[in-house]
Amino acid sequence: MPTEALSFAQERAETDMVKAGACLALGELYDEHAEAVYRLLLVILSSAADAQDALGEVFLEVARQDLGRIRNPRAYLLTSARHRAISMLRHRRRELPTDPAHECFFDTTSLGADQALLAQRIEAALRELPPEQREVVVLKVYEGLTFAEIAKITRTRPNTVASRYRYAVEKLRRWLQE
Amino acid sequence: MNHNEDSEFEERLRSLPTAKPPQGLRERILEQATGARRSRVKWKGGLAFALCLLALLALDLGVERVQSARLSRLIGDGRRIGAPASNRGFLIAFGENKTLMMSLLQKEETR
Repeated sequence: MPTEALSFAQERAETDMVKAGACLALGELYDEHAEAVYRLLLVILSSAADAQDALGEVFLEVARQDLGRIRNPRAYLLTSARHRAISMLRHRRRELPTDPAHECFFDTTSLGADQALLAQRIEAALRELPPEQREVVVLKVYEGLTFAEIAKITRTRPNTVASRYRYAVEKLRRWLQE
Repeated sequence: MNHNEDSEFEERLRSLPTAKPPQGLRERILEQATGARRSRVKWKGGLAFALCLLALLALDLGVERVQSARLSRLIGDGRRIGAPASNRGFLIAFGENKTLMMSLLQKEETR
């Protein structure tokens, strides 16, 4: 094979490897964090279709970045997802669906009747909360973040986050006891 | 409300599985990301090529301007001279670029 053709083939192979590497990195990032990001989007948007659109946009935006430069991918993705969700909420003029058929936060397919009922009640109660309280509940309970970490993501003070959490939990507990 | 009640409530919430992103979404996102990256690379390549071409053109134009200014200076900047002057400058100019000199002289004649 002539030298020029060989170097062209090598160059092409290297480019393919870089592309494959970037794709692999994005795939790994998705596998590791997509569930948490989707959960946050679902709880803010209360719509599976919107949450899926937003999830796609979040990961496509990440794909445009130099993945090696992102120091804390989880915080980056959650912050980006939150921004996108809030922006979608602002642009969304239509009312949120209140029909139980639209419930989407919990996966009730594998649950027994009692647990499924509990999930439905919790989801209905979650929907009654303002978005800023809902997001704190999810970030604290499901992602196990501290108030300081949540404050960084939501760009508020830790005290504000703590009081939002307190209000949310009190309301949820009260509604569930009724 | 105490800490135990809080953790109990959190446990209760955590015991319920939350919805996961649909199966096909991962592949769709990765496909779109790869496509977007490829088109960005193409676009960047095209831009770099166009910029190189523009730079070459500008360089060529610049060189030509400098050369014709120099030759024109050597032959007296088109000024009419009363007495015959030394033809040294003329010969140097001819030696440097014969074609350009001929075109400059033709311009002088038609002026």
